[in-house]
Amino acid sequence: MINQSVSIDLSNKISRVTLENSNLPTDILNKEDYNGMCFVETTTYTPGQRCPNEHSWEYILGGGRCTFLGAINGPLPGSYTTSATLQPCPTGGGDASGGTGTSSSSSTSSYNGGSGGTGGPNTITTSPVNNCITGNCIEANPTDPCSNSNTAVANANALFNSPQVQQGMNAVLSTKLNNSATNDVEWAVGIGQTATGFTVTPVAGGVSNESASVPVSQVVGTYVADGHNHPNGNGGDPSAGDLYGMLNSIQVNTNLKYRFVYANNIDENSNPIIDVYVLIVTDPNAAQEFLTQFPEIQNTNFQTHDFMEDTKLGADYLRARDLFWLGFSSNLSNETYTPGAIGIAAILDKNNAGICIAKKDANGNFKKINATLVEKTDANGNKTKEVIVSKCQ
Amino acid sequence: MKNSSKLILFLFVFISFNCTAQRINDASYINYYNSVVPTLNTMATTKTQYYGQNFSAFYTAILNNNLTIVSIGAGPKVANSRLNYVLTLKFASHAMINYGIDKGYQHPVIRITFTNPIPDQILDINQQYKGYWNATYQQFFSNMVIESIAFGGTNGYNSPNRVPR
Repeated sequence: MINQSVSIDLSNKISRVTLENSNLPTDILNKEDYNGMCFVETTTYTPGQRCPNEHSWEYILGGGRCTFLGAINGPLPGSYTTSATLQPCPTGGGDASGGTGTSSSSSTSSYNGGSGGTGGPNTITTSPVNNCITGNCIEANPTDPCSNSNTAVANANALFNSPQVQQGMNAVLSTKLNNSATNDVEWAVGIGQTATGFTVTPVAGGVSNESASVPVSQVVGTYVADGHNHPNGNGGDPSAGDLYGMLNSIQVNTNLKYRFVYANNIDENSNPIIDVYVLIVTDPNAAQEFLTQFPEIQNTNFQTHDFMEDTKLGADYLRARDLFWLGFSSNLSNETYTPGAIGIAAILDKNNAGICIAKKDANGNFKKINATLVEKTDANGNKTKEVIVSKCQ
Repeated sequence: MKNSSKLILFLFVFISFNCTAQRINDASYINYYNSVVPTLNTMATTKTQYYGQNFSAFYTAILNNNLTIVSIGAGPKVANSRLNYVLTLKFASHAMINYGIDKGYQHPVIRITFTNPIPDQILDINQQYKGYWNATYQQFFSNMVIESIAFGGTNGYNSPNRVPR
């Protein structure tokens, strides 16, 4: 035992220490976990299927959506589903507060997979042993990513679920997306607020290869929200153009708070669904500062409506998107998101943009998406980052 | 030696080792940047000759210029599309690239837009290799036809000019 106030001269004395207890390194490294808990991941492979109805043989269902793959020889590509569960670290590591706790949370992420191969096992389970060492431990986040947005998200849900908005926006845009004659172009509505409730404009747009413009001049009352769809084959995550369009609009329309974006998708049971995301203004002053710091002309590609790839903002967006796409992620939300949605969530939160992104869940409620990058060491010992995805309750 | 002293010594050695082995700083980032960017800028001047060619032809040029692809990314040609047409080639470790991004520095990449979407079988390869470049990725892309090429982050590591070549 080394008593306090006793110093040791370590110079030129230490090159290697043999540890009698081989568990000691793991015990130490497990201190870097999530309040004493580690993530245990289980990955399950589901064989692919032909897409129903309108899709030709070149389109394969995997990961809950139909995807163009070209000619397929051999087994159909399937999908992998990864579940992550917070459990006490296997060797009992704990944080400074001690204790391994008994509470847990779970998550699921899924993505398309490739060819199913030659009939190997359908389930791949990662060993929980040393999960913390291989980087599956997450640092505790002392800040609540939801506290600044809970009220705004609740207000967005109230507006969305009002009879006027359900009828004038949700039903109208859903009908456009459900009709193959109208779902390959954009449509938009504006939403106003009066003393008696919400109003919704007639739907506008419908022009091939053009973004739909919100019919602001037709809004009755105060312009507080709008909604539009993305054409078939596109995700519902807002584009850089959608984000900057809103940032610009709130300079003039200071009561504008919500921008809803609709898109077709297919769920894990092959059923067609409609994804709805929403950009929500939580702090207009912060949004103004974000626009000043990252001007549209320097950060948006006006041809693609995407972020400029090589700007600081674009690099952050692409990093989060690529990490999610490559599987350097832990999705604790039990929801599926497009990689672009994760990129947007990451840059909005990182830069305190005064705007957040939320997605409608299976119960019809919008939940804010959180995407935070943490340090990680991958299975090969390489230092990288991982994006931790969650949603607010 | 008693257990507590061993623990302290282990921590000392462990921390010292990490600090020595994974030291990335401005000097090492600039060194990496300057080792890659001149070659990329030279290649950018002849990029159009690979338009309409298979990726394998451009890959040969990359090898002939002594560039080493470390990892990849991908994205759509236009925002929100579910089809990825663009392959991004990166030439440094994740740690090095992350250092540059976190510092707001430019990081050099090659973005290749193909004439056809990247097949989703790549997700299966990602599941196995996590985007770290290898022969499987090389073979996967070898016969894809190049529509255009952009060289990003090559104007100087701290240059305000972020326009790709």
